[in-house]
Amino acid sequence: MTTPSADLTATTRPLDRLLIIEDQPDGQVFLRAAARRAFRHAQIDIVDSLAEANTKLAQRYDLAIVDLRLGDGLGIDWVKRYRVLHPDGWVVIATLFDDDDLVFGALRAGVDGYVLKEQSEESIAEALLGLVRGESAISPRIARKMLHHFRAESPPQAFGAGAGANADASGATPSEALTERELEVLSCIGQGLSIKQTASELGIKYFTVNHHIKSVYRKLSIRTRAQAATEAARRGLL
Amino acid sequence: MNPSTPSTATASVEPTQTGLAAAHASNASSSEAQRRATRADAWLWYGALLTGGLLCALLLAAVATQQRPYPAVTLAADGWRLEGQNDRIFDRLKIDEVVHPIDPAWLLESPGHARDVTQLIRMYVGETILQGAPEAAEVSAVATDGTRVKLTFAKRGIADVGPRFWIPFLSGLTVYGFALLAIRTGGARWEAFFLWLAATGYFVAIGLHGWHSDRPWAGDESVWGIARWGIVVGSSLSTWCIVALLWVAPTKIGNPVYAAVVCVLIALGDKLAVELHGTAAPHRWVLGMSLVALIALFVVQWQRSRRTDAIVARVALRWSVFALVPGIVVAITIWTGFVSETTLPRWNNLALTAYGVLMIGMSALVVRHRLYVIEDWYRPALAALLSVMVAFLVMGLGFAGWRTVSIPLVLGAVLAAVLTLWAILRGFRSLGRGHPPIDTHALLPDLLRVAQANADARGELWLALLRRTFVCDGLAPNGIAAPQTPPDAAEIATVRNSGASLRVAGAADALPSLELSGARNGVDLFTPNDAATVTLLHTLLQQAIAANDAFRSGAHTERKRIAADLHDDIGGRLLSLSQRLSAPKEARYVRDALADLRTMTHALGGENFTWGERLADLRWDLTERARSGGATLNWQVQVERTVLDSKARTEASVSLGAIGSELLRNAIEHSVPREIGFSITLKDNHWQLVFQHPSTGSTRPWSAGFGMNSIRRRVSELGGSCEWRSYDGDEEGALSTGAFGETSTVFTAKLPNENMIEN
Repeated sequence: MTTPSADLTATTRPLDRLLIIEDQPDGQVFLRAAARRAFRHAQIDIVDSLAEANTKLAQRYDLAIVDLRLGDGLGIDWVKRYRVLHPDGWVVIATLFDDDDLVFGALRAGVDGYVLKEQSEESIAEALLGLVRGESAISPRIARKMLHHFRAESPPQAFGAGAGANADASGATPSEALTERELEVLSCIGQGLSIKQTASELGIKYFTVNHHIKSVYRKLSIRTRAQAATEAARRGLL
Repeated sequence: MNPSTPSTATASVEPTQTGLAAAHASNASSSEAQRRATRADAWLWYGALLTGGLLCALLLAAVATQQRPYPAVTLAADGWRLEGQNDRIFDRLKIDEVVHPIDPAWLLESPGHARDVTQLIRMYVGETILQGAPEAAEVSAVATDGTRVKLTFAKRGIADVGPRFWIPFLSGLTVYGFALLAIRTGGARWEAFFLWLAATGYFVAIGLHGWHSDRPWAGDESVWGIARWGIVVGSSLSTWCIVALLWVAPTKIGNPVYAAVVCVLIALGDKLAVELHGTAAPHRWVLGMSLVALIALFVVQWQRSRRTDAIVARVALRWSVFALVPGIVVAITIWTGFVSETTLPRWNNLALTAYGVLMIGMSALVVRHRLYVIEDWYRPALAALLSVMVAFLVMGLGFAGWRTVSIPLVLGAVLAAVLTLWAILRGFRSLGRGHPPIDTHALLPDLLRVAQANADARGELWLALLRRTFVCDGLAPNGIAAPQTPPDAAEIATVRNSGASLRVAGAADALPSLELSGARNGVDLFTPNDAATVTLLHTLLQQAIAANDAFRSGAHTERKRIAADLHDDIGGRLLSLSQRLSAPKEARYVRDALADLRTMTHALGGENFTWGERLADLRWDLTERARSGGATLNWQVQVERTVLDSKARTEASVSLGAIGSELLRNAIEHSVPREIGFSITLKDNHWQLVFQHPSTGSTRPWSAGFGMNSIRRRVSELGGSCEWRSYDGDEEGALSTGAFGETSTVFTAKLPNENMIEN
């Protein structure tokens, strides 16, 4: 699978097609304005329900901005299906609060990041552009949840043993184990450091920290995506 | 306010009338108690002085006015010697033409020491002769060679009193003097009172013996009878007071040195009087009792010693005294002739009966001692054995005579020996002494603290509470699983290993099982009473935990509901508003409100978050908000790891987030800073917050409106204090002025750590 973050040259690539899934009219206007500010020439489709969004599953979008709580369901469900069909498209969720367990669930479902809807239009536009450039949004609470998740998933000997570690009894594949550096990055962010402060603390570059975060996101969603793909195949979607 | 220290009240807290009244009442009560104590001291001291003076005067008067023969008589092996008659031995006394053989024992021993009835009669006869001699028309001493010397009688006066009076008298006076010293230094306490009585009894007895030993040659028979009774009463008084001292010795003798000196002098004085000067001293048995007391009092010196051998010796001695004193008293009194099967007047039978009663009393005390109460079955069995022992001993001693080996006596002695050995062994095992009862009411506050603590800290606090209560060791053994169902009351606390340990059952996930050992610093045993106390505490604790958990659960549910409402309802509306507003300033206000709402719902919705996690979230939040305001947040935290790992109190967490948000928003609003400093330092058990930003150019950092009032209220609710001021260059935790230009505004707050951490 090729993830967008794996190709840093894509940061300069213009996005042509955007999808916004938002049930609130004000939110639709706001998100469209922010997206327009970030990607001036892109075609922006807007849907206001999960049912309508499902009709767009077959279409590939360069970026999908998905509201977590929709009137007829959760945006995560749409993300899971969409990810199976289009693993290389950007998916971002828009949420009011970043401490919601749904955010973590969305990350596990394979979203590339999240934006806070409370932010200004400029900030959201900047966040979207940053995402495309390879930057990642992550709060200390999300980082700690990730740490807890990987610690619960991996036995001590596999945990932190690097990508080359052997598969463990719980079924975690080597690629799901976090490297020492990824653990350090998550630990720093979990203690409240920003990405820039984390880079300074660990003596690495800003983009390298972002790369590690992206890697963690990817590892977080591997099993979910695999399960989703199996389910999609069973239903004949693939 | 502490009523005993009214002067420490601050101006803001005026003492109430009730408080002052209580203070006066307390002082008055204290003064009254002090006056009473002083009065008792004075009564005892002056009473003892007066008694001593009277005793001296009476004894000196008695001895100075008694008549004696001239020439002076001294003792020889087989008769008398008279002054000025060379080495002649006088073996007869002629009174009004009647000749009596002279027995030297007349002047040596008292009738109480008679070895047999013949000697006793001869001594009584001799006394009668001596009493009647001065009244006769003519009295002569007849020597073995037939020489006759006429004896005349006159009052001797003080100058002619011999050593057989002076030595006992001075012995008694010295003992009395040390008793006075003990009273003077120890005050009116029971041990001082007993010591004074012992010294008085000894002084009376030894003084009368001195008078008696000089054999007054005249006087009514009633005077001699009174003297003999005085000796008996005085000796008994001193003996039983020493026994009483033994009784209180292990715990109450403040200065055992004086008591030991008194006992030593009693013993030595009596010994000297008897052995060196031939003083008739039938109360020689005081010597034995004094020696026992002496040993006891030396052991008392170890009372505060924590050495194992001292503890062992103390316990062994106590048990020995408990079990052996009655027997020793009886044996010594018979051995010394105080009680004799050959010469038993009526009062001797009474004395023997009194000793039997005493033995029964001692046995009852032994049975009631806590060391025997450990297991209930010991009590009836032991009581029966002791009763049989007492019965046998009384029968054997009272009817068969102590020199005759009788079956009851042997059985009683064997039982006494077995029980004594068992008691001593038991004492060695327990090394214990009594302790005050446990006041469970006083433990309730501690119990509530245990109940209110976090689940993972409860076990440790519960163990600490029990260890404090019983002054013991204890642990939560891994091998003992806590029962998943509530245990029966009888199974909550069980005495094990004959009281060496106490097993306390756990309670499902709430409390671990515990094993306590070494009660009262390892010198005592756990008893069923201790188990009952622990059962009561355990039951109360479980109830308190259940109530506390229900309260917490309710509070958490309510917090989550409020957070959900804020999140879904207010948050949604504010978001919609912020997205609709076109004016940037208004939109920013709304977004700030949303950010505050997020901080609040973070704290409200969470449970069991540590301060490390809370501070990380706060740092991230403030950093992001400072960045969006064009500033950099300089964040510093100097707090111990243990505090960072402790659970954050929800109210404190919400307040700290709100305070940080408000300060940051106002700083960005009013001073447009490039850099903002925020430090948290734990010092002197207080959280010291310092928030610093460039000066607003006003003496007031910003409008003293809702924001400042809200911050003050939150700080006050956490039991702290806060202030704003211009940076004066030495503010602890503040950043250098370089980051803020010439001047900066510093907000400082001090919050007690105990209000920040969830107990």
